[in-house]
Amino acid sequence: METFTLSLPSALAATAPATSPTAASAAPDVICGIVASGNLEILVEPQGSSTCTFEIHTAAEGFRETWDAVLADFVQRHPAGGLRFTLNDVGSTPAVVALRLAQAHELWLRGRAA
Amino acid sequence: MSARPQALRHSFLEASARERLAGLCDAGSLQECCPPRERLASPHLAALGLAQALDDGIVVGTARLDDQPVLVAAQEGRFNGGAVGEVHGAKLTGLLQAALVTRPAAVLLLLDSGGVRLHEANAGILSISEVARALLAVRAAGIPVLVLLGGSCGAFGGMGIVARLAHRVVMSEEARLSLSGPEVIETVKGKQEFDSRDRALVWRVTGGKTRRALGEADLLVEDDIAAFRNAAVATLRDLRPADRQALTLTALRQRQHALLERRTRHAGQVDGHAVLATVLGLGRDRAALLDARAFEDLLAQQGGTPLSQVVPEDALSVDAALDAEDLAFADRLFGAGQHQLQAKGYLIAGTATGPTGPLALVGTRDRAPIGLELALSMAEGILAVVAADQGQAPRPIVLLADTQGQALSRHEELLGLNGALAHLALCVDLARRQGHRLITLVRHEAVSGGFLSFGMLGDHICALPEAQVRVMDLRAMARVTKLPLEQLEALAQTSPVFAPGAGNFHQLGGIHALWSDQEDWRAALGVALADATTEDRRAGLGHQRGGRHLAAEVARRVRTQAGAGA
Repeated sequence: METFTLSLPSALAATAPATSPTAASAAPDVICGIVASGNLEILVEPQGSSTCTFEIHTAAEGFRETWDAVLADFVQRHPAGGLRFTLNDVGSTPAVVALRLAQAHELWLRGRAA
Repeated sequence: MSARPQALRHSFLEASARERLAGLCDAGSLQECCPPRERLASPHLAALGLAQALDDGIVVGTARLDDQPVLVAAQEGRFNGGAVGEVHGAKLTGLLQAALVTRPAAVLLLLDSGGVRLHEANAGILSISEVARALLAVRAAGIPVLVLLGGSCGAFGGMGIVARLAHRVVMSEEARLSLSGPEVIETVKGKQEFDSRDRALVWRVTGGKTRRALGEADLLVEDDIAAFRNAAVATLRDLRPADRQALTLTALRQRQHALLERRTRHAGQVDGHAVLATVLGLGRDRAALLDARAFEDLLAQQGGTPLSQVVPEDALSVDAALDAEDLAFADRLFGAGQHQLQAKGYLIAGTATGPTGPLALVGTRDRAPIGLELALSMAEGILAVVAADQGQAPRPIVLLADTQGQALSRHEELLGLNGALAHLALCVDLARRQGHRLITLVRHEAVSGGFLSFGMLGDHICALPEAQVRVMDLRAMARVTKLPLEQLEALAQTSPVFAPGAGNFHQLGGIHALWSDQEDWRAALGVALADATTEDRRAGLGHQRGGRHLAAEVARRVRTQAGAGA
């Protein structure tokens, strides 16, 4: 296992969905993907800081450069400032990681609209 | 005519646990308890350097079904095969315990699990035992429990037993329900017994159609989330008040008879073809072509008439004097001349004068492999004690556990050994509800399935000095976990949640007391009888003893969040 946390600047995401703290706790978690071979789960949460934070737990060791590239690409493409992404990965390819991040981000936006 | 066009279906099999629940429950009604943001992942997986999931592979919560309040759980089969570890199991236990307080219209369990998570084997099997105890309590309280099986892992191992404790099982053809996985049987007994790579054979033995034909499942549905939803609504609507009531002695005797009858009717069968031919009169290929509706229709036509006038072979009853070793054991436990025990094969039963007066004993001997015959014989023994004590003070029952685990054979799996073990568990639970105190004594060995449905249900569980307690043969474990055997052997030396041994189970709270060789066993039995309570205290004990830090707390959290207070 390899674990690391990375914060990157990104355009501000639509902020926390909460109108009140009670509504926030009642809202379902924004989570997608499954911890299984070649796949990963991603949990999206709001955070105090305006950067975008990634907490990565991956079973595939030694791919830090690839992660950095995929995450840098993601924060450029999507306004993700103020969000925290927690990833539990079991050897997903960069394409799968990018796809899941985009999916998680979209779910977050949708949850906010609802 | 029957089904919607394929394109409009939403496959239950392909969906994740969350997608299944979203489609099953009324739109937007699911409120998850202990959701991913609480990060209740398994520390035991982390210790092995394996990936964790934030929900430990199970979603539990409150929801509505057809505008009725329900409690729901869905296992995620794609995370470690839906296997049950400490946290995963505690979430399920907490949910079931909450049902006792909030009294929902039903509890829906979307099981999708290979059974015990072998990476934390001891904690896992204890968790499943706690789930079983909690489910039995919910059932006894008259709250319907419905199991829905449509995932790729089906329900195997302990979860195969748990599934059959529910009021009803709804499953798709694609789902499987059994006890030992084909890989395990093949590893131990060889390819000629069960070729796990022959997928068609695996489904003919364990799949939905065979299970439905045998009566191990109550309804066959298409692989469609909407079909599962409709089936759940209809099944709950059709449950009669009598079906909801706690199982009685009469009801369990009828089940016992039906299981004995079924065993005789399908004697010697090793392939689902034979089952379908016997039950439905269908040839090899016809059954495969029927959709769920047509299959149910055919079954309903056949169901009214007895297929054959089977006179079931009786369960075993004990008829022989004890051998020297058993006699010495019984003399030491009860005192010479203080017991009237007999044996037959692996079965041992009888009566004795215990430290508090008369008691009954039912159990296994000689490291028994527990198959259908033995499971049903033990059930018969328990039912006989309950029947004998109607209208008088219920005697305590000593459950003597000495088992190498469930019997491993394709025939036993085909006939639903998991269902027979669940029946045994229901009989043991009946005894508890009728006021019999249950004291388990683990004598030589207690392994997995056979122990789960019998000994682990005791009110107070004691291990004798020689007792070995474990989950699975290490070779089979290596194959299932895909971890090297050497790593598992090394791990077994150090890890309390993993390593075999009565001491580890004691530390985890799964065994109440360890008896020493120097001890007066008769006196120890008296202590056990005094200490026995019908409440399942094992998670708390495990916490006190430092072996299981999470189970009690996680279950408490789920109870609170499900609206049941602490």
